[in-house]
Amino acid sequence: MNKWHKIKKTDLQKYVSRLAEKWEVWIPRLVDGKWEFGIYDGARDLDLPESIIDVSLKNLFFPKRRAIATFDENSKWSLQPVSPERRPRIILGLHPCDAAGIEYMDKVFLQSEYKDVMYKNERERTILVGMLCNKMGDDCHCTDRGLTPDSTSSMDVAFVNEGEWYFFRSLTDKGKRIMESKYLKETDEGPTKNEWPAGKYSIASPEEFMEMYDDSIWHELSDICLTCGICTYACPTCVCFLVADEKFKGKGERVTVWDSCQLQSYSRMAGGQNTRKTPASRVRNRTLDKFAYSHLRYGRISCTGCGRCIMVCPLKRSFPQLGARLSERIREKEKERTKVPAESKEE
Amino acid sequence: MKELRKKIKELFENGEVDAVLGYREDPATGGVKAAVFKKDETLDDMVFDGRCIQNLVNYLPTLVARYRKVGVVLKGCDGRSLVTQLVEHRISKSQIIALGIGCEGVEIDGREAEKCGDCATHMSPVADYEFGEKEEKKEPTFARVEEIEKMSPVERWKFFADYFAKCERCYACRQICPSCYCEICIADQQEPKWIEPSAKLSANTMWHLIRAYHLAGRCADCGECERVCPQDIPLRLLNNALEKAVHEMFGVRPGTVPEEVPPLVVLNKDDPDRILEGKNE
Repeated sequence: MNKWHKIKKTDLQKYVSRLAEKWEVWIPRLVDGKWEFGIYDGARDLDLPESIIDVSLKNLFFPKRRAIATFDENSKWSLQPVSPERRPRIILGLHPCDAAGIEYMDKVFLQSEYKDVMYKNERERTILVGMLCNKMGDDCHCTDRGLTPDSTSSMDVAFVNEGEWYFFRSLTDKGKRIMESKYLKETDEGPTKNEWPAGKYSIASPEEFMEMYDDSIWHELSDICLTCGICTYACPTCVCFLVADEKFKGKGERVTVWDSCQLQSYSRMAGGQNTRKTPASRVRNRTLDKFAYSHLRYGRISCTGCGRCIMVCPLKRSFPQLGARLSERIREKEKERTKVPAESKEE
Repeated sequence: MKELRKKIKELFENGEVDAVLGYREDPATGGVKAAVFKKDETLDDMVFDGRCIQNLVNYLPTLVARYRKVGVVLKGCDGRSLVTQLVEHRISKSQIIALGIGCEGVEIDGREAEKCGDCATHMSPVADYEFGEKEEKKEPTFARVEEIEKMSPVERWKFFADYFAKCERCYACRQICPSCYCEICIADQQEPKWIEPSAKLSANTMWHLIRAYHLAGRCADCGECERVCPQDIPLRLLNNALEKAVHEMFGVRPGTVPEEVPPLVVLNKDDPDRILEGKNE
């Protein structure tokens, strides 16, 4: 285990400015009342939120709209791959749930049958410098999803906010590259450990969820859902996309664009058939994908407990609440099944 | 509220409705949620107050397919929405019991909603039963639209472009709109692909303008599209502009008169023809 290094809070900005000379540094910024990541330009004082950043990191690795090739119909009809951005970058101030989201995207884009070269490039050029959370936000429930506000999985460097100091520790070889600085001093001290309470949205196991596929509860769970796509766009682990050619006067780009299983168009096939015409079937797909399919495919449920789906929902509906309600129903069913009928008991 | 609950109970007992669509207290958020009340279910947590901003009419087509007869709690603006659905034959009145409530305005995050400021319809134009006060009708002002009309085309474009650029294409506006019910939305059509799927200014502008035009003479100004927009795009403004144009040209405000056919689907010899007369700017 690498040693802790401490840095005075007042020195952090100087340290980051120094890093920005060599790297493209991304930090959380407040834009129109929402926290999102942007490139550090030194114009504003560094301010790091203690818990959830409103906009997930997904867009930095797998952008909403991503040109993968260009073409020109007027000259030779050929696709030219888009050359990837190579400049090394640092993302500083992300939280454990953000890192967990990236860990899941790695499984989808790097460790499965099909490798996504552009995602791989974004991953390789990035050093993830995660900040452990000091508190849990109103909608945070990572403790119900196998994480804690101080999980360091998938980070290259982790740091802790404590009193007048930040405690830094590198976790990978990549992370070591940013630890050489006059501002960071090696220390035998370490940050204090926190106890975290369980959240309010505990859920059943993936196998139990799978058994609910044909249950009638999906109509109840989807009754007021608009089936718009905003929860899937906000989700750090919703990675479905569509491919489209966008052209103007014969010149154009082949792009991947975020798609959403909540929209009716998602499941429409050639010939006009639609396999998920009802809101219930679409809500079921998303719920089971988060809590069951992902586990079957990649060995980990894909919900990281960040709570962004609650924050963005136009109807203030709570997706985790829906998972919890479903789990409740699973337990009810289990009880009904195991209950010995009164008569046979007497015999 | 007491009267409303009593009436609903009575309707259930007489078998006049199988389900009632209304608002339920939601302790988890401190707000209210749309809810379907069925016979023998408690009505104690049914509420109607300033928090009940959601237009429930959009849920009706699904509900009437599942239940024989459905009661629905309606504010004035929701009543207008219901009229638009009835005249377009999306729902049959025979399946609906309309419970109109005299609305004193609803709020978003504790502040009175903008749409209530120039509301001219406090009671649903179609109501089988009416509850609460019924205020006098007044003429709409369209003050916000007039402000935009004063801008130069360049300013106006900048005003909207800044908003359209932020659109994420989540389609919440479409999904909550009672009048957006195309079998296949133009944004989802593949051949020809009218609107590119990616969230960029040109495609977003296409999407919002096409949607606004499709609602001309049909939109009843419930303002839900603007309320649910995660990026706070002033979508109601687009619809208001067209509502104003339709009002000036045909003297019609969609949804205010039951059984009035939408002006853009009929041809009258008295209809203005500003384009042919060369009077259009």
